[in-house]
Amino acid sequence: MTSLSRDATIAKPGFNRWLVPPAAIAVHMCIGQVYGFSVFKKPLARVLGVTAPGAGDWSEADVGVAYSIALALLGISAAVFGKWVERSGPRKTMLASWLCFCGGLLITALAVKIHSLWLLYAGYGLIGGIGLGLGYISPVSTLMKWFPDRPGMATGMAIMGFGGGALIGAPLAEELMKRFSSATSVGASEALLVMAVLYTISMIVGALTMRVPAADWKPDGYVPKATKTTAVQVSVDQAWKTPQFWLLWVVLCLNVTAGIGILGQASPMIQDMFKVTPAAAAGYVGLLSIANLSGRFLWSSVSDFTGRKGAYCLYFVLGAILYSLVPWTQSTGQLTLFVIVTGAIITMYGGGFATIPAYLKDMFGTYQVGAIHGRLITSWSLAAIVGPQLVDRISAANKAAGLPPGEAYNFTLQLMAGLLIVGLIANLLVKPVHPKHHLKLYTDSNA
Amino acid sequence: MKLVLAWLFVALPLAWGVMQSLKKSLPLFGLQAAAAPAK
Repeated sequence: MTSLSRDATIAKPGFNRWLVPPAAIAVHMCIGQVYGFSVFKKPLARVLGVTAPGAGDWSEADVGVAYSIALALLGISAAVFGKWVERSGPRKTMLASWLCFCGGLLITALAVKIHSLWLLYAGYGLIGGIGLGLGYISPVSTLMKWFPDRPGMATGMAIMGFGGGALIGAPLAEELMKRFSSATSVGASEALLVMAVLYTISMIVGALTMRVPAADWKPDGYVPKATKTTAVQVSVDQAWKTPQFWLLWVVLCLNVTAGIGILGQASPMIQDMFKVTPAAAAGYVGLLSIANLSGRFLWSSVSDFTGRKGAYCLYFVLGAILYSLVPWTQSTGQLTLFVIVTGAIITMYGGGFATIPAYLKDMFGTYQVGAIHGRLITSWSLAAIVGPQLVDRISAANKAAGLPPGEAYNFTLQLMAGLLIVGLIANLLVKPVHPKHHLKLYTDSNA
Repeated sequence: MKLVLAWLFVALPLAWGVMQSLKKSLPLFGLQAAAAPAK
């Protein structure tokens, strides 16, 4: 096990730091499959009936619970195991993530085969969810240590991989299920097995490529900027006693909730607002996924120049303006503009995810930033579970109240714009951490 | 060489995923008939 320890992964002189981002992406693009889980909903709801749901088949809602458990466990495990992740280093954590995530897929395949709902929840939700949390935070602090000159861009690349996971996972699962389906099987169990094998290759390659920099390593020609926050180091146990942690928790939570306002109802929304076909609506969802992916890299890179606080101000102000424009695009029948506006909103949703690790580094230093990030993303779990429910219920209530389908989303869109304004206020309240929280005995050699 | 391979290892699946999504989006702009209209 010594080859897995943090010390064994310290890079030798001459190691190219640009090998680290693809190693992180190789893990993130696998665990990001969770965003594409919805393609399994319909097939898993007719495992017994095959062509149509039969007696004893699970409902789509039953299957969806596995996704909610996985997202909840993502946040919980990232929060609980964050300190262990910092101690153990990225390679050991990535391998633990692989064991849980791919092990979870194998258990899910078995659950489908023997048709056990509880095994599905345990495999995909519980064990797989722990793999998601470990994998998500594993490369964060390492990337920022390799790229002290561009921390936003570095973590943005990894988190872009997570966004790309759905783009790969969803069509891959559809393709595999098509190939394995027969008169007696929907092909989901076999598809999950193949995916577990493919993801194993990618995650192992990522883990073995990963290196941490030596304590005294700096990029050639890099001179740290002398700012108020440069030398600050705060432990994870202190960090969450600070108002800055909770303000950033609110910032991320509201940014995610607002993004889900579009993502969670994208398909029915465009069908109701512009009367497009379900196939075209599916295409729209795909475009939003690309916007999500590109925003993660683009905006987090921009944040290296604007500063993190400035970047979030941009997301919130521009996001609120764009949200309030959406009903106008519907009333004037401008489909292309609607796609552009909502796509731009989703780039900032992705950007919010990707910029938060660097924001945490600015506030709390790199000492335990991965663990702090782990605790902060509980806000994402909460928003990802509660947000879509809230949005669905409001839209459904408006339709039930007799509003034309095209206008049933206006209140939700205005609500999302309002949430972004609250997020803006929280972001503006973020100030440097009080020195009483700083680590007393910290020296640069611990970095 | 190692660097190129490492980036190709992640870029190719991501590019495939992006292409699949772009192909799916064509019906949205009336550029191609929908593969199979939903029933």
